[in-house]
Amino acid sequence: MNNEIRIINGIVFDPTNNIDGKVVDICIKDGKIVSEVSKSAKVIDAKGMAVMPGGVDIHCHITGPKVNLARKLMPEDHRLDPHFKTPNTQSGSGGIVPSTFATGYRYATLGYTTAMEAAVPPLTARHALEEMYDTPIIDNGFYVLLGNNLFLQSLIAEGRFAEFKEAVAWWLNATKAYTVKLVNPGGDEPWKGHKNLNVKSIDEDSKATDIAPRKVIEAFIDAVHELGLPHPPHIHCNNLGHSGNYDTTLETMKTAGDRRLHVAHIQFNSYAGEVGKPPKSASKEITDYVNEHQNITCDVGQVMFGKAMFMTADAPLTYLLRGYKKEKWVNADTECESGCGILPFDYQGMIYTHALQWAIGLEIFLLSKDPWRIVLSTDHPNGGSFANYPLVIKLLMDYEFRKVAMRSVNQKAMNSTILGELKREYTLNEICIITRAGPAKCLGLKDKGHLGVGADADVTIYDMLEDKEEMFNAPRYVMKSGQLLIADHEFVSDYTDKKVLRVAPDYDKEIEKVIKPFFDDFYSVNYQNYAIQDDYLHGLGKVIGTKKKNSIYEN
Amino acid sequence: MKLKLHTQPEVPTEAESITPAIINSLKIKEIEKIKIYHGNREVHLADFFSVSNSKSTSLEVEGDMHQIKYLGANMADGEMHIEGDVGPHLGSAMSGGFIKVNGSTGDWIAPEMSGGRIHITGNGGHCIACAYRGASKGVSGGEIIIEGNVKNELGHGMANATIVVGGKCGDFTGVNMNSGTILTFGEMGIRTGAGMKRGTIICKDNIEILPTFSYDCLYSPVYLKLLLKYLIDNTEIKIDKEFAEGLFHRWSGDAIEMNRGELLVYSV
Repeated sequence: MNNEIRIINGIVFDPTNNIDGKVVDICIKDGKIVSEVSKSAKVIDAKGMAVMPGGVDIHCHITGPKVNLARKLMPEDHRLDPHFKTPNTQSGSGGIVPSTFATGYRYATLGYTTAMEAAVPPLTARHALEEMYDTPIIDNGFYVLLGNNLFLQSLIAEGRFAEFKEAVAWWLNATKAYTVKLVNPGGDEPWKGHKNLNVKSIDEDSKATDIAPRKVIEAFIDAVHELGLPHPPHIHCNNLGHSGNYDTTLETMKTAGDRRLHVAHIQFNSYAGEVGKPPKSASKEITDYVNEHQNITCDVGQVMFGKAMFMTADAPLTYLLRGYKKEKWVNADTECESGCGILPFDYQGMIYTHALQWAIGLEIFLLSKDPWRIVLSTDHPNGGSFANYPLVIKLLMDYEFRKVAMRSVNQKAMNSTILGELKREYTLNEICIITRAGPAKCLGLKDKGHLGVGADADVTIYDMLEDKEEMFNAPRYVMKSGQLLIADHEFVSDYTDKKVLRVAPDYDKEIEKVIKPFFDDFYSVNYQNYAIQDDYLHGLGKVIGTKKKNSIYEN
Repeated sequence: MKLKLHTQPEVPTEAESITPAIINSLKIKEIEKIKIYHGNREVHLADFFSVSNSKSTSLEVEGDMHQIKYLGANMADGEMHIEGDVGPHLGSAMSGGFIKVNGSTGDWIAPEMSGGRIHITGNGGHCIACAYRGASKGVSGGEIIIEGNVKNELGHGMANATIVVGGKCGDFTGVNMNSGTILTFGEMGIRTGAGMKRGTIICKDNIEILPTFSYDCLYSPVYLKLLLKYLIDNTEIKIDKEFAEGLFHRWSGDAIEMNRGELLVYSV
């Protein structure tokens, strides 16, 4: 079988290799981009179309037990959006949290070929890996929640940093994760056991462990830097969603010094104003800091109006929001490791806070001076479904459209922002950076997000349309690992060489002797049964190498 | 048009296409070829129904159809007269028109109905006008009159509809109700109106009041007289004069929700 493809006449956007809208041939062989193919290669004529690398979603929630809980919570949502079987794809259900198959297919129909699950507690990583095996097409990986891990916090409190680093490496190996995720570090534990407390500032000691969030954040940034993981700690800051929280966010970013840090869904952390009162925009303060500091990367977490689902390890936050709709919600505890909260939500344009959140997200995009480090996400499904990405792109690329959209939402909120004054329009090249090249670089994935020789042959070909939402909603061709999946807007296959991306940093085996007693004393799971066997990767595992870096620009 | 069931299906059969709008727009030969689902197999309508012309403009359906589901689904206008029992999901998501059933029905009648009228002379099953599992809102409009008895969860999560039951009701009548009116004449099951936000449940028979309801007053609602007059004119439900002019105990609740619902219990 001939597995060579040549894409001709396409207008190529490949920011990593400085190709901005030039007509270049792209050659594919054995799932990789190559410089030349034989004459018998299959030819795809992309005349007048935009050729881009496959999309990379740096932050979404698509696998794992909390996603499954959310699916179970919303049967009525699934019923209204069935995903039908076709000759080449399987059936599923859609809605705000689609089933595994539908997730893979729907990402592919937007031109996305990689999506990283942003929060999995170590205890439930087995489940996440099994679901990744069942999610077709897209490459996955997940960030493991260690920010509220009792054992690791006790090591930090006792100042045993060398052992801490080894323990973090052990946990990453044991769970087959991609990097460390910190969610409200130090905040879940006081909430679980001490009358619904939460930490208010990152220098406040949490009652349960006598340790300030700043110390936890610092320790993880150092450890991950020393281990040289491809992606820095992925942090969901303390005080998320509260008015006046931008101070906390700035302090968190300052804690990193010149080490790398990724701030997740930064929009939710960019609110000025007083605690307990309606928020104001602090997008300028936040974007200024990010613009000036090359070690910081972030994704926006744009809020889009319509249905959403809060799905977070920040249990105190869900508890706070539960009364908003007086509907069903879930709060759960993962022993010694994390919390969890799930809450169906509706963002409405006429509500001040929601309209402001929407505007702050767009402001952050438009004030960003470096699209490589402020990348696109809706924190699916927290800010809205990933199906909203084309609409976000249109809002960024079209000032007139943005002005019209601003008129139909809460005017008090619009008047308190500077969104109306920002006339910037993203170019196709910049869109290509914030959806593909940038996130791939933030993740340290050298084979993704570009079309240079040696890269994975994840290619998306869009019709060049005036309406950018329409354009990004339906790519004409999608290829993953050199396999043609979508041709002329229809699925022709759903088989790909799918990978589960992970890291495997070296660690000192002696650390197991330190960790084991803690399991014997506190865990309901035996130490021997805790680490996940390689079988759970189903042969899909791909280890990304480790190397110390201080910014995404270093190779 | 007139449809008559000639063969009893062995398994439940889904016949969403039997609605006045679809049937009356087609010729007999086309109607016979309409696809319906016998279990999971596609069959023709003629395999179970004989089709004939009739003088009436409404659609007439006849036979023991307790195995036939989704009759009159998504109906927006027209009339449908059914002689005999029907299965579940009658009038599912209907938004207009009128369905009259001379017989009894299965469970889950009129889920997600938003308008139109259903009149059943016999008994109903469980979950009539009930929200689908997981949803917070069920029917959002219309009128359902059942002259016989019904089982549990009548009007679960309903909003802005009117339901009248001539006979007995099961448990959890009007549970999680958002708004609307339920009028019942027979014996009631337990936990009537549990978790109701707004809306009215009127009972002729004495009921068990939940502890989260509080007593308000004794009065006689005016709109009830209009509703009863409508029922006297259009149904066979027996309504005595004392009831029509009687006083009702008003209880408000459910206090665990918004506390704006009302239970009206006939004071003998």
